[in-house]
Parts: sequence; structure tokens; C-alpha cells
Amino acid sequence: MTIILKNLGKFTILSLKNIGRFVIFGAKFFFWLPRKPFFLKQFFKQIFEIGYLSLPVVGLTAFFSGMVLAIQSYTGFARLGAEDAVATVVVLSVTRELGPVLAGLMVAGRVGASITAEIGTMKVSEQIDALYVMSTRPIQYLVIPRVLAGLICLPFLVLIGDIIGIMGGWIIGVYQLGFNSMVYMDRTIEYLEIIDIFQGLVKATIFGFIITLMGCYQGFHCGQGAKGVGRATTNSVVTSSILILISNYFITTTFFGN
Amino acid sequence: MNCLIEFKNINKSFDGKIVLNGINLKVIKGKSLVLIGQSGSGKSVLLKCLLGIIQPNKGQVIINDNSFFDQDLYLKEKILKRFGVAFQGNALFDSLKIWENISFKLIQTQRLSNKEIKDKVEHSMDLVGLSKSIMHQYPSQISGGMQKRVAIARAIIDEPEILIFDEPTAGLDPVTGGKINNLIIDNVKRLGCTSLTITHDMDSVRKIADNVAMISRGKITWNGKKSEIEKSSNKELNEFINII
Repeated sequence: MTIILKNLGKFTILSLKNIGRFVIFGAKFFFWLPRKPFFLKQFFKQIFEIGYLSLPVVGLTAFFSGMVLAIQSYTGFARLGAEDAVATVVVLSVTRELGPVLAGLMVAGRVGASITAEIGTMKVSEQIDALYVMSTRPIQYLVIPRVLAGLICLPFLVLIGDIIGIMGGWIIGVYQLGFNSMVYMDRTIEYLEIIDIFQGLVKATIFGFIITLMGCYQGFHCGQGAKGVGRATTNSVVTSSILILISNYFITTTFFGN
Repeated sequence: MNCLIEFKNINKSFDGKIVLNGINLKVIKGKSLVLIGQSGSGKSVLLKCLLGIIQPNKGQVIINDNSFFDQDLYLKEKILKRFGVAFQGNALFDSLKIWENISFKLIQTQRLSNKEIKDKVEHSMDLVGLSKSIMHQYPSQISGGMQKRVAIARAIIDEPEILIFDEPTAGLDPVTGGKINNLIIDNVKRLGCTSLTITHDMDSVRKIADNVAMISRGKITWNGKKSEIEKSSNKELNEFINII
């Protein structure tokens, strides 16, 4: 019993310590954000890395998810005789949920891991110390461009993912399930509201912030050697993914709770 | 003697393990101090305390009669601009080309035209004997010895007042190590600066040092001129020299 309590205490202290460190790290980001210098070249480089290079992954995920969603919802709705609702279900599911959450999880795996591995390697090979010694604040050079790029790129990725996902559903609807193309498109647009898209984009922005800030935090606080970097990379992906799913619930409740 | 850097009673421990235990040491202006000691003796931790990368538990680092840790961030950065540092593992930025690595500090701290930067990079590369043909390569594309030269070129590019070398010959063959030692001597003389070198290579000590300090188990166990090393009766120093 004593051992269980002791371990529970240790775990609680460690968890609180990590949360505290993360909050301080986030506070440092906001403190340095409005201050000069801003590393524009780094920012554009990150836009390319996070935004452009994530397009294939996000696009493919959205495309196949849209197709699967169309097939699954058709199978279910056919039992109720409500096949006409397939297009509406696909568009609402993709814009509100699947688009932002799947894009967030895929980007957490691709970008979050890459950010942590890069910054972690820089830490263990003293490159971050070198930045500091050369009068360059590591937060401004490494963190701010990445987090801002994440904030900007994720909504665009989700928007593109939404379009591709809806297209995937349309292809299945028209070529496999035998819907009329015009009717399917009408159904898609008819029940879609601006708030559905807006909600997805708000989610994407928050997910972008979570992924990039967590990626940077884990990189800055990784342990020594390859093992330390590897562990930090795993922590980055797992923690970002969990935070994405938790925050997704709260954002959805905020928009549609009532 | 004009003291430029003074370590005053520096103490540092990690998770209860004492690494530095009351370090007192002076670095004389215009002289080259070499800090020797076995691996794990606390040399690199002391260096990181000097640069403000690690905050000691107790003690002060005095630079030009001012306590470094009492300064605000902007003043610390101003002080650090006077340093040129070549790290143990070189710490070159993997994602930047050689010329970008060498010019990094210049670009961040000085407003210079592209031509001025290019000229300074080329001059710095000349001084360390690097061919301009590698300018557009990445650090991973050049040898360990060349990386060491790039790290020195980066440290000296803005003609700093204080040069720091952490294990400058570590991992190099004796011939390349000898060349690196000569580069350090030449550049320290040319710039007329103060230098602090950390090493456990006695060849480096004999070539580079004016003064030598030995650190063992977190304490300075011997401190004196290079010429006094051989005559010293200090047991730890003699053991270190004979083993190395």
C-alpha cells in the first residue's frame, strides 16, 4: 500500500512539474512573440515544412476518409431508407470533425515528431547553447517561427482536406452508389453552414498551436543522447494527439453544446 | 596583473551530486589559461557557468569587475558578444551551409552589407586554412578536422575579446590536432585576446598555455604558470601528466 501511494505521489509530482514547465514555456512564447527580431526566413522555411510538405499526407487521409464515410453512412442509412442523407452526413462529418481531427493527428505524427527530433538533436549537440552564446534567443529563432507557421498552416491544410474529403465522398456517391452528381452536390451544399467550416478552422488553429508548441517543448526538454531524443519524440506525438482529442471535445461543446 | 574573468566560489550540483565545489579562479587579460582535468571533473560545467548556460547554485562570475549573473538579459547578451566560443562537438548548425554557420553571429549582431559579410567570411576561412570551395556545403559533408576549423572560424569572425575553446583537439588525429593547436595560438596572438581552453590533451597545454589550472572532483587542485608544471610536487597533477 505504501509503495503504491509513494509511486502515485511521485507520478503526481512529476506530472505537475511537467505541466508547470509547459505553461512556463508557453508563457515565454507569448512574452517573446511581439519582440524583435522576427526571423522571417525561418518562418517561411517552416511554412514550407509544415504546410506544403504535409499536403500529401493530409490530402490522402481526407480523400480515403471521405470515401469510407460515404460507404459506411450509405450502408447504415439504407436500412432506414434515408440514403439521401449520405451527402449531408459526409460534408458535416468532414468539415466539423474528421477534417480537423485527422489532419491534426497526421500533422502531429509528421510535423510534431520532426520538430522535436530536430530541436532535441540541436540540444544534445550544443547547437542551442551556440545560438545563445551568439546572442540569438533560441525561443525567437526556433520556437516562434514554428508555432506561427503551425497556427497559419493547419487551417489551410484542413480547408484543403475538407474539399478533398468531400470529393472522395462524391466519387463514391456518384460512381459506386449511383447518386446523381448534381443532386449529390446540392445535398452537400444545402445543409452546410458557415459555422460548420468555421468551427473546423478554429479547431485546426488550436491543433496547430498544440502540435508545434508541444513539439518545441519536448525538444527543448529532452534527455541526453539518442535515447533522450527518441523518448521526447514519442512523448511529443502521444501528448499532442491526446491534447488534440481532449481539446476537440471542448471546442465542439463550446460551439454546439447547446 | 589585470584580471578579466574571475570565478568566485562557484558551486554546482545536479540531483544532489556535487560537480563544482567552491571554484576560485582568475583569467588574466591577454593571457591564455588552459583548464585541465579528467573527464567528468567539471571542466565543461564550469565553462557553461561562465557563459550563463548553467546557473551555479552559489558563487559569482566576475567579468571586468561586473557580476555576470546580476546583469539583466540584454546586458548579458552584450557581454556575450565579446566572446567567441568553439564548442566541444563544434555545435555547427546542420541545416545551414558552412558560410551561413561562419557568418551567423555577424548577421545577428551587426548591420553589414552582403559584400562585407562575404569578405569577412572569406577572411576568417583564410585564417583557419579552409578552402572557399566548401562554403556552400553543409557541415555533414566535410571531415571532422574541417568542422573544427569551421567552428574556430565562426568563433573568431567578429574578432572577440575573449576566446573559449572546449576540447579543441578531441577526436582528432595528432597531426590535425597539432594544426588546430597552431591555429589557436596564431589567432589568439593576432587578435591579442584572452583565451580559456579546456582540454585533457597535454600537447595542447604545452603549445597553447600561458597559465594552467587543474580541476579535480570539482575543485581547483593546482594553478600556476606552464613552466611550473614539470617542477610541481602536486600529486594529482603529476599523475595526470604522466598518464596522459
